[in-house]
Amino acid sequence: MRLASMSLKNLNRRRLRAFLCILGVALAACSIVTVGASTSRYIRVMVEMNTFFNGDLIVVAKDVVVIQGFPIGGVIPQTVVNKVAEIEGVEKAVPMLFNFNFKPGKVSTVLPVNVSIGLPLDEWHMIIGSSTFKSGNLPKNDSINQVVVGSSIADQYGITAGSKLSLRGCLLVVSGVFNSPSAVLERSIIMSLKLAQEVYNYPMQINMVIVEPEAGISQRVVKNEIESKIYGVMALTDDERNDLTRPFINTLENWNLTMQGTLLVLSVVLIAVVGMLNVSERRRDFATLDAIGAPSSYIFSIVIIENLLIGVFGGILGILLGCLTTVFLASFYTTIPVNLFLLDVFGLVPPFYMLEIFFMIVGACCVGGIIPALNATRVRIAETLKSEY
Amino acid sequence: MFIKAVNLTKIYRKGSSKIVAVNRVNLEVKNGEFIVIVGPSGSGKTTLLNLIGLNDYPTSGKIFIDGVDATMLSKRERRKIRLLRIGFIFQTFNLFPTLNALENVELPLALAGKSQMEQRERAIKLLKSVGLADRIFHRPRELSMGEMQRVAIARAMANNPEVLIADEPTGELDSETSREVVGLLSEINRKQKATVIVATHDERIVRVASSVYRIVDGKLSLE
Repeated sequence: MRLASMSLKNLNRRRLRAFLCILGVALAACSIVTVGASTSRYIRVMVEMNTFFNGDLIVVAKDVVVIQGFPIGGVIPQTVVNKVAEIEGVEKAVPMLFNFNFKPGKVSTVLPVNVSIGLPLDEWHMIIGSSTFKSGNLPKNDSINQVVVGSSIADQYGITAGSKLSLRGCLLVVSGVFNSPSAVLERSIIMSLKLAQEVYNYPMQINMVIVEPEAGISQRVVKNEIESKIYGVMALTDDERNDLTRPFINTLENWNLTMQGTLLVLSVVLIAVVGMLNVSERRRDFATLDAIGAPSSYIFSIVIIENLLIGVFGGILGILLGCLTTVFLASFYTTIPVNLFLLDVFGLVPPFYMLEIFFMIVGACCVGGIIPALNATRVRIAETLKSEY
Repeated sequence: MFIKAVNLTKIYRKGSSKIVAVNRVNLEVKNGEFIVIVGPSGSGKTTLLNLIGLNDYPTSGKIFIDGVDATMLSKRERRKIRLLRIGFIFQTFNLFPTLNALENVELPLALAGKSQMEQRERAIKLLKSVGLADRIFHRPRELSMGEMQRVAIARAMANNPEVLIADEPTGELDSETSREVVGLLSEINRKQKATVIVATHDERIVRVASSVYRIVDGKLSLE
């Protein structure tokens, strides 16, 4: 306690330098949190997209870009569904129209991260099986203009069950608002396939078929069958979908790690330089401590605790700044209002991640303090005090 | 504590030149003595005190403390002696600027492992004894030179050392304050039976000493 209090007072003595040092550490922590949380969020969303059709094949137009479970563009005729269903080894084939970017009427402009999903009403459980309804329910049948909306979009635009929604000139009725653990679904409007084709002007067209193989039949066998018998499509297994995005995810993760590593090293260097400067200025204090009989461990601890305090203050400040920056960045790139992200700040920057960064920063500061602390213990009493006279 | 220096020599080397700061000094300090070492600036007074106070190692020669060769002791053992058996008063006080008077005095007690209550009681008692009862929560920059030196004396006496070593304790003080400090050192020597070794130019200190030594060019002689 005395050591901590002494270290705190030492920092307070050189307030401006300590503040700048804390700010430097905080900026490093902020950058690590922002880059890490944003990257992790995108990776999480991408990984999550593949969990929808686990064990199933997806059939999409040949050479289309597929991010995990979902194709970006690339349409195929709806008749492909029947052809796929007839192939030996196929248990079920479900058509789906998946679309990025929509304009919810007068309310907003382009929302690039929002999606709309159209699929037959009796197959909606494939998508929202694990979701719970916040209000309302599923539409009653396939023919009416009813949709269900993810709660993130609903919260943003004040949509509840019964609300009317204008999408690309079509008037839709919201039959329910659902909560989902999936970030993609939280930003989704789900409707019948027919309605989606009408809204997006894809008559008798879809962009993917979800194929469930019969029990005991491997995805690979069904894939080969589909690709050999149906022209212009490709069937992707779980592994292939993962393989498509793995390099991208790996690159992101590596970039994130490199960034974190670099910032941590910079923090260590900053702390070490400032620490050396502090020790050099306080040689007389350390020599006096030594002269009155303080053990080396005591002198070492003073410097390390000062660095630890810088790490603690810098870490806390940096994480707070990092959370805010992450929220603002997420809002900037999605047009979702900041307040919605603020409510879910722990979703964007998980508490465990905050703790991880906090301990990393504090650890880096302590490591940065080792050399100055060792220098402090090596101060020679006689020479130092003599030179002060 | 019985201190004996035998052929004590300290040589500083700067490049190719060497400075003999202490030159084959022989000295015996018995328990309860008040020894004063006088000499011009740069004559080796501080170096000799640092050697006796175990703040530095001699180039050659030995220092015996109660018959034990202190030059052969480990760093830890030397630190323990500095902490518990020797009190050091510096010319420039060397108080810790971030700590108040009370905390400065408590520090050696804390290092010696005394409880919080013991530290507080002893520090207050010491500060009262040096006439600073009303200044205990003041930081060094809020104290006068004389007050700072008195805090330094209280700190040096914290663990009730057998030897008090003072390097020019009145060097930075005006004559009135110097007289008070001399009085304090003399009182510590008389009442607490502590051995006092002082390096000084101050004639007032010379007058209360039991032995006076002169050091010139590192060579010590009894006056």
